[in-house]
Amino acid sequence: MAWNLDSGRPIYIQLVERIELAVISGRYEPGDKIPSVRELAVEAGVNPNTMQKAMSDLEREGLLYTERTSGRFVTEDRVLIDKMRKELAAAQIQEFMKKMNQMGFEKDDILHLIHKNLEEGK
Amino acid sequence: MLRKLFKYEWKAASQTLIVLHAIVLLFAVFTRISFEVRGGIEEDSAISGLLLFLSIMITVTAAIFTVIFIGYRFYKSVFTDEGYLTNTLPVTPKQLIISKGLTGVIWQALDIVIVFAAVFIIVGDRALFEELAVNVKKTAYYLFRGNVAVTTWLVLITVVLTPFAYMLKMYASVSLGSLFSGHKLLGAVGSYIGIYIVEQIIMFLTIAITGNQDSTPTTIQLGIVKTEVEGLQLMNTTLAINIILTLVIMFVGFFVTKYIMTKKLNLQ
Amino acid sequence: MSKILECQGLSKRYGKKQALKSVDLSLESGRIIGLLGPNGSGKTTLIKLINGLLSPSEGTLLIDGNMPGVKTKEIVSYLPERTYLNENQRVSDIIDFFVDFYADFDQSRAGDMLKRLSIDPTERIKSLSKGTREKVQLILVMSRRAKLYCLDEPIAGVDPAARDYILDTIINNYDENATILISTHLISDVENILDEVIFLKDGQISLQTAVDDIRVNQAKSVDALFREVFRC
Repeated sequence: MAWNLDSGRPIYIQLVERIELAVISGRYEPGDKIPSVRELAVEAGVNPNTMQKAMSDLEREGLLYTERTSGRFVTEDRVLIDKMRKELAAAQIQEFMKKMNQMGFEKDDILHLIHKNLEEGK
Repeated sequence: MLRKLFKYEWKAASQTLIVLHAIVLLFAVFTRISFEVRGGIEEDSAISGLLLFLSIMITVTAAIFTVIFIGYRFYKSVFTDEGYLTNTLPVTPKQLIISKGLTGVIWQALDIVIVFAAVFIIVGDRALFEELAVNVKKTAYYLFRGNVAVTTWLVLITVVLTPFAYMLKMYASVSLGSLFSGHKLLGAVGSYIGIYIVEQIIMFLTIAITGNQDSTPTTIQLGIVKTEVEGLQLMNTTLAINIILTLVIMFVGFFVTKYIMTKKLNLQ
Repeated sequence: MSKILECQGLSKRYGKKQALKSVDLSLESGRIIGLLGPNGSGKTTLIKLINGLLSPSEGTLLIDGNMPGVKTKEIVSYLPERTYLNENQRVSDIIDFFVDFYADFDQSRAGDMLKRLSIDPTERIKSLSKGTREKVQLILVMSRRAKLYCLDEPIAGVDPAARDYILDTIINNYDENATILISTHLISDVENILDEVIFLKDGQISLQTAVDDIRVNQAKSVDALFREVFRC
């Protein structure tokens, strides 16, 4: 199956996350038309009902909108997308910090390690 | 739906049966040719004799095979893996039984026709045809006249009903056999034998009971010849009882088959 | 949403063995439902009862308000574990057969699916591999626009690529007015496409719930829960 999903968590939440990521990373550009529920469901290997639920959530968030006759599109609201990107980044950082704290690192150590890692990565 | 079921059953069964009966006719033709080449049927010839023997064997086999084949087709399409398709079609068990049974009855009739045709091909000549025509006319005449009329009708009815009875006996045997899980075909054969034995016993008993008939000889007038026949009354009674028995078998066979298909079906 | 299936006190006995014990069940339309349980739990018995291949010992079973019979067979599409195809037929023959007997059979859909799998309709069934035969049977079943699809172990004994194809076909042919009932013991492969699951244990329903309820309330996959419930 194309999308690697964790059966231990509600699927529709994971679908929402996937599509949010696709929009934020630019895979789906603002204004792009996205495939139909059925096509995405097949691609993801999930129940169309579940995909529909994810779509509804994304529409409620404002990330997607439906044009009655032409289909579903990504929002053109770049401000919204940017806001989402920042929110997701914040969540990732929080997750990262929690883990680092669990391992026993303090704030300064963490910053030092990040710098070192980025330097070596060049 | 019935028409569709019949169409498919007919097509499928005929594929084998047409080939078989074509072979019967082919052998008959070869046998006749071998006789003609030798100058007539009286001539002695090893080849002709062999062909004649084979023709008879094949013809008899074809007749028996036709009935068993139709019975086997019923078993295969209703009680084996194919049954998953057959029994989930939007049709009733009654329709399945009728469409398949009718195919069987028609093929039994065709088989008899071809057997006759084979006989004629082998030994037929003008004289035989003429004699046959005369006898047919006579029978038709006496269907409606004289004391033999009843007898003739009874015989005719018996002949017509017999293929139906065979078919339903087959189906009932197959259905009963399906109740013996793991030994379905053996069960079917056993059931058929069982039905046969029961038939014979009933027949014997009813004849024994009704055997004491008024044995006044009946007078039959055929043309200008008057004959006194004893036991015509008895024969008529026997025929009539046989017909009733056949009808009972047909109904029981039908309902047993239908009941088992409806309530006792158990595909593996 | 109407109830496509309703069972009340449904029981089935085979001699001494009781395969189903007083089952009460109701299924809504527009769902993909998993009928899960170990071998011998009564899954196949229930599906055969739905298709009129078995008669209940006790209780009632209604499909779209009707008892199993001609009317229900018109709206139920069944994929059994066994192959019911006649070896001597051609693929096109069995397609024509379905067109003839089922008013809801979508011939163009079947044709498309065959083409996509490069199955030649003029081929005889006996010349097809086992996997291909199973796919043909799946195509026949999913090409019907039925109200209830009963798939008995559709992916058991099938290679992973074929498994994907089968699940894709199921998703693709999903109709919101229809219900798909999938009976299987291979849970992790199918749980992502299920709306609802029914756990069948020793002929009785031990659980019937929406799939996401399990994930939210118990933070487990259906597969994990199954292993717990049916621990040996």
